[in-house]
Amino acid sequence: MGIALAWRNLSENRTRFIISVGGIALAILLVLSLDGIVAGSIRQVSVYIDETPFDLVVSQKGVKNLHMTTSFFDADLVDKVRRIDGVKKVTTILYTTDYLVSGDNRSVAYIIGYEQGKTGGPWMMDKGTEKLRSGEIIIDRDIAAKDKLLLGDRVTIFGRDFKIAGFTKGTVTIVNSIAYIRFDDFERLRGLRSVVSYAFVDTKTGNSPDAVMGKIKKDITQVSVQTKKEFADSERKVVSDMSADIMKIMNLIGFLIGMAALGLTVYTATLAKVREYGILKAVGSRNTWLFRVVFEQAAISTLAGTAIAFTLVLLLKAGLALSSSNILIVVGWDSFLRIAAISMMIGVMASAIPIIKILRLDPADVFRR
Amino acid sequence: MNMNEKVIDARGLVKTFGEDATAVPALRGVDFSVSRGEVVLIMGPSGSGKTTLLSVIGALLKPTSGTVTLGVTELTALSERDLPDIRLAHLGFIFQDFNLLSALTARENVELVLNLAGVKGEEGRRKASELLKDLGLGHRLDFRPDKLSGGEKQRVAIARALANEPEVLLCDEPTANLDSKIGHDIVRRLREIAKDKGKSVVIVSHDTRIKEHADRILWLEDGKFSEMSAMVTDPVCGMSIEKDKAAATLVDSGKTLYFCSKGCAKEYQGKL
Repeated sequence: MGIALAWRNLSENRTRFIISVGGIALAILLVLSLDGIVAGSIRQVSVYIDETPFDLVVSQKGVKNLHMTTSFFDADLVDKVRRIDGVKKVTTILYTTDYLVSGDNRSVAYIIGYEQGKTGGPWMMDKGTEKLRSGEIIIDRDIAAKDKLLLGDRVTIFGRDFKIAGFTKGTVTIVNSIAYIRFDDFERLRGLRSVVSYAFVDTKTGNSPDAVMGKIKKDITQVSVQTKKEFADSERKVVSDMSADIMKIMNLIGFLIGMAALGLTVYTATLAKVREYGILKAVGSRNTWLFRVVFEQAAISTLAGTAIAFTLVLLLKAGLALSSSNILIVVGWDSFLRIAAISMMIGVMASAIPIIKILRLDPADVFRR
Repeated sequence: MNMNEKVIDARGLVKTFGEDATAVPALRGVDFSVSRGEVVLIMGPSGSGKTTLLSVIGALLKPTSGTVTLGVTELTALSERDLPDIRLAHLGFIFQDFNLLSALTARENVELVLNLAGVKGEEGRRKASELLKDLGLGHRLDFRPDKLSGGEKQRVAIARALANEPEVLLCDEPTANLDSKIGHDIVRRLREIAKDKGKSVVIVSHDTRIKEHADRILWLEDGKFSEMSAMVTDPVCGMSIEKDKAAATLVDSGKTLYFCSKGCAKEYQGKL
């Protein structure tokens, strides 16, 4: 092992190194947290589908998700689904999107009309009951807290007041929350008769959901059928498509800030040592060796910045989980590797100007004072 | 060790900076050679071409014309790509400002040059330590340059210059930033190195006090060497000047004195 000149150069002025790495870390943190927040938001968007137990979902022909869609199909078709070989159980819900109104407060909610005690209702209650009587509703506790609502208070949906009978938790997403009412209340208020929005299908043990889905598609052509995963993916895709451009812009901004911080770090570290690089050239160092020193400085700064950024984002994630915030940060290995790769690319790009400077350095300058 | 063997041989060196109307000649046909174990002192006024000559001999600067041969290798015929290896293996540099790497300790400064030549790890560390101990710096191995005195820094620079056992040491004003005693000690050490290890030492300096350590003294002025026999020292400022070009002369106690300027002559008269 030779002398680690890159590390020694960086650590010589610790204050400058800490400030520089801090700048890089903050830039990477910006990219990483945005990425994590969007990934978390997208994951939350499909929370209803993820938490509701079923294998297949049947919907109106052509409808692939919940968000910003309407799905209604004939209830008779549900009976046909029940008769398909391999189907164990089918439960139905009615669904629409409406405003949850409380005084001057309005928030968008998925309104789910569910059959009491069956699949499709709330999966995690915070307070109150999930056994609703006519005219009662369950809303998310965070919406209730925001609007200062208590059990027994009233909110309006479909132009009619509902009494709050329970609070759920974990149903608030970036786009809405979820509110539950009785199936028959939904039918009555919307004037529906013998239709359902979605049917959740459980398959019998030993029957592959894909095989059962194939049979439903073949026998009942008036509906669409998807696996749970396909349904959740479609739901997430709607939101990820909507946020893709914003994410690209934010990532670009983070990338540019990171590059500026790293470029400045490597450039100032090189500039501060430009005479010493000239000395090394004079005593016989090759340019390639000096370039390696610059690259190593960039790599050390980038890795340190990335490590700090990941630590900070994990702390942020833990902090958000402990607080009552609805923001979920998801940082997977794919995010880690992608952003680490981007950071290293920034490091390489930020080395370009110092390398040009070294290349142009005249070793005879060491004799000039 | 053949002490008559020419290690450096430069012929007809011309170096001109700029072109046409802005052309500034720095060297005007210099012939110069150094033998093994020889200490050559090159003196001359500022702007005379001393540093340019050192840069050309040190393979840091290509001459406009002329040749420089190191042993059997003609440096001026080599490409830029080949020169770093020549400098690393065959030439050692000692600078006025010491030019040590501030982030590294004394030992690491020497070890780094060994690393560049492929001597790494324990061997590099051992050799660097030995060189520094030989120069009386055994107690300063792990000190960074900012914790060393001027003389200690210059000794580290000498150790660095010697690290890859070069044939030639090129020294640019090695005593300029040192007090008289320490400067004396540094040049004495350079002479010892020349005689004991057979290194050729070329020193460029204004410092007349180091004349006594040189085997040969050359006077460079306007890019050409002049005869040193015609050189005299101004008794006021100590500057070496050519007898013929003295600005003023005085006779004191039957002895002719030569001055670099009329100011120095007046100052001398004032003391009489």
